[in-house]
Amino acid sequence: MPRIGIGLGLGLFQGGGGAAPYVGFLDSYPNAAAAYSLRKLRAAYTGNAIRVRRTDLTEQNIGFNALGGLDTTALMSFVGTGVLDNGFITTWYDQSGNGLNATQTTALNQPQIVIAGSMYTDINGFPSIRTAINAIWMNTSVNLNNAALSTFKVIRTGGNLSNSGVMGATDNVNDYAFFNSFADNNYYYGNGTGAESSISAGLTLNSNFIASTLNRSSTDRQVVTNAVSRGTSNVNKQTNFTMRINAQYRGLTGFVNEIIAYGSGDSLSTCQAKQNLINTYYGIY
Amino acid sequence: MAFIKGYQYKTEQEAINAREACDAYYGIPVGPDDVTQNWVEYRFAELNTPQFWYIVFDESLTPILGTPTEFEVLTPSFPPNEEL
Repeated sequence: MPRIGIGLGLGLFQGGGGAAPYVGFLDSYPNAAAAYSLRKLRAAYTGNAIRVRRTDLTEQNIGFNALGGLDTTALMSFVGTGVLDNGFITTWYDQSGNGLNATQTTALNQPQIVIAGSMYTDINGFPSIRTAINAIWMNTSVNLNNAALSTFKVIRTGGNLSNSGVMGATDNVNDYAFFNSFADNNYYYGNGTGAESSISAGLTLNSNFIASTLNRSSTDRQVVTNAVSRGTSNVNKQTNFTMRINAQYRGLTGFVNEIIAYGSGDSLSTCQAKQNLINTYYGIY
Repeated sequence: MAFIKGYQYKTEQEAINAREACDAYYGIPVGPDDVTQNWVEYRFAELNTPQFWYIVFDESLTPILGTPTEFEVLTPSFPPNEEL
């Protein structure tokens, strides 16, 4: 059963306490191609986190609290706390500075953040967005190539790992196989029709993970979860694609807190350093 | 291949008409600046012969579209053909 709660809604100051200026993840590791999160990722970012549709179909932007976490007070005030009050994400704003917001214009396909007056959270109580297989996804205009790519995804798995495509591509037929974990706990590369490869991602049921795929060239790929390398692949694969949050088919049935993508392939040590910094906020491992 | 519970249409225009009926029923869009533009979206069964358009069932659609049926939609084969 999904754990539902009010959540922390708190941000952290990476630089320490006191009057230290806010330092977000992207201040330490800038130049992301796109960055979606329920926390503030960059000190200079002045936009909102998400735009939410509530049960009566009206919409409102939700920003951050003073500590850089999601403004859950504003969220619950807007959506409501009654058993008939539900909140869905229409827009997940891109904090990278590139303005590549993720959107879903169809009500029945929008990810959910509030159900029956309670906010979805991850295992540690942070706000989290509910996704589901074959039904829930968001479109972006983020153009990437899987020969030069690093992704960082903060997820909570659900009760089934057979489909966990946290990132997809826009081809409605072939979108489900990009850089995702699904089908027996594996990460798969490719587009569902050509030569592909899989790497066991080390996922377990109903758990939080920081998951990365590193694509340093068309034949140099690596999967890292919770700062542990899970394997490499040298299958030759190079494909341009437009990123989708949660694959339209075979998407993750679980929860997503954060997705950050870079247009270059990190070394293992750089990836581990980034995951460790993310982990200082979420406390996953 | 997947078995889908939903509504099947021979032409795209029929699917568009069904989508618009749902939008009218739920009053979408509510505001001019709203992101939400449709209640439900139709899909294209590209790999089927003959091809068709369909809407996946949700109980919110029953008052507008009626009782759903079940039909097959072809999807690319999986798992992939090469594993480490």
